[in-house]
Order: sequence, then structure tokens, then C-alpha cells
Amino acid sequence: MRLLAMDSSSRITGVGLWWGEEAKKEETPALGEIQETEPGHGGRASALGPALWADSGHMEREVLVEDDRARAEQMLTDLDGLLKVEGLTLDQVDGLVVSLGPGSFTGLRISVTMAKTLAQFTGLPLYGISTLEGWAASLGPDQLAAGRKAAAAGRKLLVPLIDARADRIYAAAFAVEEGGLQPALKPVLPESLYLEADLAARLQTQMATGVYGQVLFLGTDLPLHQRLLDQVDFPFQVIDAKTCPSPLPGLCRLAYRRALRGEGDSYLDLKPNYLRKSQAELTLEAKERKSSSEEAGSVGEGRQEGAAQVGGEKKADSEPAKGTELGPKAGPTEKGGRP
Amino acid sequence: MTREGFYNLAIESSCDETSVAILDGGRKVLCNLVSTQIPIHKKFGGVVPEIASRKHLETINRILALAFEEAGIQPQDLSLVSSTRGPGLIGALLVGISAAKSIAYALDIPIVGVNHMHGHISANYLAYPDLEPPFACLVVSGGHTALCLVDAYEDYQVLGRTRDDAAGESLDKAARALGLGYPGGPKIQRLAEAGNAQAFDFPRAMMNRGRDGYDFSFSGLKTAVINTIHQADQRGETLSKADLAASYQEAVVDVLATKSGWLLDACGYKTFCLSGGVAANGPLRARLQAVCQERGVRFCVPPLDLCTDNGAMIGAAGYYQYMTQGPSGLDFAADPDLDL
Repeated sequence: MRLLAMDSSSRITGVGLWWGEEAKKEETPALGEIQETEPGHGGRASALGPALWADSGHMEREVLVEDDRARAEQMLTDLDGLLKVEGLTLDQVDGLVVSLGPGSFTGLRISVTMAKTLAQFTGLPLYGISTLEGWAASLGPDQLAAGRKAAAAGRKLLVPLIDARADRIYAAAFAVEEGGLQPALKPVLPESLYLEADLAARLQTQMATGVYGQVLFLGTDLPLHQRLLDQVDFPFQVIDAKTCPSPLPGLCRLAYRRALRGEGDSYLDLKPNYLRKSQAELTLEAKERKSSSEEAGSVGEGRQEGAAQVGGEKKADSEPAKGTELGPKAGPTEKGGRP
Repeated sequence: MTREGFYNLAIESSCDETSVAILDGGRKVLCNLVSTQIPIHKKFGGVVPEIASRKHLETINRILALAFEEAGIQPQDLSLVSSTRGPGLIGALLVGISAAKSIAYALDIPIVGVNHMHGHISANYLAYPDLEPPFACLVVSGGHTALCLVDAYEDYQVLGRTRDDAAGESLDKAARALGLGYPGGPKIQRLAEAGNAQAFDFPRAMMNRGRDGYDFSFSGLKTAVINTIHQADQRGETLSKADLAASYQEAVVDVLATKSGWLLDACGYKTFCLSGGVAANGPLRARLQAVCQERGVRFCVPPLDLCTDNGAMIGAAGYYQYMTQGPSGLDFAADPDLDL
């Protein structure tokens, strides 16, 4: 089974081709061959060799390019180039995999719209996979085993991170058994938008239970959140971008499992996993909460001031304080301007 | 001059409408489906870019499916995909463009990235099957106000444009000042029907023909209406909102019509086209019709459903762009600030 995968959740845009094990390949490509992708483009290009996961399938070829949004707009060109290198056409692929986020809102919309529409017009099955789960499932057994000496016994906590600007991070924490991931990723901390300090505290609490011997952090945005690492006081290891440069292998691996179970997504209904409402909605909700609490507090007053403001530019003044839900303020990828 | 059996699918998603049309050639509309987000943005008092982009993504594949049902053709019958590449909201544009590119790639057919303003002008081709360039044209929308000459298909010469607010933007701002909400233009027009257009003498800016030419400025007008309301408030007076709306609309229409007349006198063209979202405004249509009649010029304006954003107008513009300039390529970029 061949799966074609797309990820534009971050500044590093990637497309990849996955081989499910039951698909016998006639000719073997040059192993570990590095494919340069438009070196003049200023981006970072790499290609992973095959055989990351001998048990279920492997990444046949992966093209990663680090650039701004403009690169995501050229994703179909990258995808076409990838297929051509493999001597394939779109109708020789068995399914489409797309990274659902969290991540850059605009980036996610480009790849999700492309994957949905390709599915609609080719009839190919569509598999939308969480980007954080994709990161988590991208680590091979060797990489998971690394650091075992440091954590002599006990399980590991795998924490993929995606930058959400400033001191905010999209993250989750998954438990890792000795010898590999559990068949289904069971989150110990749910996928959410966290403040650095909040995530550090929650991980600290988990590690205090003594169930886990070590935390493995991964994600190419990790260097943006050095302060998180500075805050924690437990054994951890950083899986760097060289070891694990993209969530594509994990996205494919998880999609492949779903494909084998016959669980596809609808091109009509699939949407990105934003993990965050728009700024305007957060502001409006905060305002409505405020005005309804004022209303409840002023019995017999018979007047409501909040209603006087129609479409006002009222700034977010209250952060909803419950759990990990973050309130208004600098949000990812929201742009203004009307034509 | 349009090929039959040349099926052309067009996508428009530059602002708050998701629209898909299928045309046969450049002028025959097989379907033109529009899903508007106005009810969603209403409570925010204007279009919220992030929400608009999300809604486009949730809607686009459904509308695409419906379009083929309505047009009675199969995807394999398509010869061309047209998509708005700008101007507009970047996030919104990218949804339509990403879908359009994927269709072109999946079906292996050419794609063109279309200027939204060319689309507005081309809406007239749909309404008037015999219309051909050259003609003079006024394009008025929420983001643009321009007087131009169309000398041939894909030959647009802009002679005047707004230096600050667009006409539609100005109407939206006045509507907000009057507490009418969004979208402003239609609400101003409705309220103005019951008002006296001569009640307030709002300023007409840049009306020195020799010095200002065909350019427009509407920001002073907006300030004038806000000041008028504010000063009355301080005196404890309540002004008639209907009179304010009528006088404001009159000032906008007056400037647009006067400068259109100047252009017609200067260029001597015998056809004039009005287009863009604000072309739906009744008094503006009536006044420009009179301006044309006085000069023996043919007046063209699309029906209301082709004035507001729609896929069919993008299909018309896309068809002529493809025929004159060829395809755009799979990697063309969205351009939120694309000029006319």
C-alpha cells in the first residue's frame, strides 16, 4: 500500500511517500540517497532513507523544505516532483495522508484543503492524523531506546511540541512502553495549547509519580522553547531535528494502521485540528461572560451596558482561567485587512 | 468568441462568500452557487478573517460536489479551472486556490489565477452576451473604487482610484457610525429610502477636475458624518438617521457619477459598465444610467446576484485570461494586495 502524505503545520513543509509492508516493490532504490530540493531556494532539504519501521512499513521518500508560507502554496509542485522521482502517478497511490494540526492555521488550511480536494477528485481514501501524534509515532525503536541508560528502569514520557508563538506551546504527553509505542497512543497529558510554565508544572507532577523515568522532548520548534527546558527538574532528553526532522513518518504509520482497519475520513467533513478558537470568538465570549455576570449581579437594575457596544474594538481583558484553555492575546496566524 | 463544450470551473473565496461556478466557455453559466457567511460575521460587526478562512474550508468541498450535480457534467468533462488569486483576505484566498490547484492537478487540466476585480468587470459579459471591449468602467466594492478603460479582453487601463477609503468601505463605516451594523451598504440604502438626501450637505472631495482628475477620496466624508452625529449629541439633539443615511449616500453617488461623466466625456466610448458589490446600490445604478443616457452611451450593469462576489464572474474573467495569456501554472501565489 502506497500512502502520499502532506504536512504544512509548521515552517517546514513536507511531502512523503510511505510503503506499507504488503506492497512488494519490484526494484529497490538507492538506499539512503539524499535528494537535494532546490538548494537555491534557501530552504533545508533532506530525504530519509527507507526502513524506519520494519514491522509495518517504511518511509520511501520524504522531501522537507524550510521556508515561509509561500512554500506551502507550492506543495503540489513538491508532491508532483516526489511522485516523478519514484516514477509514479497519482492514480498509483492508495491513499492520502494529511497532518491535521495543531500548528500554523494558514499552513494547515492549505494542506488540508489540498488533501480533501485531491481525495474528492481522485476517489482516493483520505486519512487526517493529529500532528502531535504524528511526531510521537515518528520515533523509531532505536531512538526510543536511546537514553535507556539514563533512565535505568521505568517508562518514558514522550512529549512532542509545536510552537504557538511567544511562551505558548501546542503539546501532548504520551506514555512509551519499553520496546516501542503502544499500538494506540494514549495521552497522559491531552493535546492542548499550554503556557511553557504550565506545561513544565504538569510534566513535573507526572514525573513526581515515579511511573516514568525520563521525558523525551521532540519537535523542530523545540529550540524556540529553551525556557521550558530550563524550568524543569527531571531527567529528560531532547530528540533533535536531525534525528527526527518531521512528523511525516508517524503520520503515515498511524494512517497506515487506520487504512488496514478501513477507517478513512470524509473529504466533506475533515477539518484542521486548530486547538484554538479565533481571536474574535475568544474576545466575544469573554465579553458575553462578563455582561451575563453583570446582568446576574445587578438584580432590578433593568439596564445592560454591554448591549450598547456593537462590533466595538473592545480589547480582551479577561483570561479564562480554567485548566489549559488559554484565553485571548497574541494568537497564531491571524491576519487582518479587507479587500 | 467563446468555445462551446469548454467547461470551466471557477472558485471565488476572497472574502466572506464561498462560491463555485461552472461555465460553458466564457459566458454561459451552467451553475453559480454561493454560500454566504454574512450571518456568521454579523455578530462581530464585520468580516473576521480567521473565521472566514475556517468556514471556506468547511464549505468548499460540499459546494464543489453540488456544482457538478447542478451543472449536470462530470469532473472529467472540465477543460479549465479558474480561481481568484487576489485581492482579498490571504487566508480566505488560499482555501479557494488550494482547492483549485488540487482539481487541476488531479484532473491534469490547466489553471488560471484570476484578479478578483477583473472578475467584477467581467460579470458584465455574463449579463450582456454581445458586450465586447472597448468600454469605460466603474468598479466599486468594499475594497476598491476605480475608473478604468477596458480596451480589449485583459487590457485594463486604470485612470482613477481611491486615495483612502473605498466607496463600499465608506458606506460600511457610515453604517457603523449610525449603529446599523454589518453589512453596511444595503442597510444604508434601505434607511435612506425614508430620508431626505438634501438634509445634510456632506462634502464632495477632490472635485477639481483639472487638479484631482479621476481619483477619489471618501475618508473626509466619513469623518464629516461622525462629527455631525457627535456635535448633535453634545447639543442634546437627535438627528434623523434616515436623513443622515440618505445625505451620505447621495454624496457618495454624486462623486462617483460626476467623475464617471467626466471620463465618458473625455474618452468618447459609447459603452459604460458599472460593477462590483456596490453596483447593487439602487440610487447609484439609477444615477449612472441617467449619466449615460444624457450622453447617448449604452449603460451596462450586472443583475444583483452577479454584482456581489460570485464564482461565475471569476469564470468569465478566467476564460478570457486563459485564451489571451495561457495558464498560470500550479505554483502561482495568492496576492492579497493585487491591483486592478
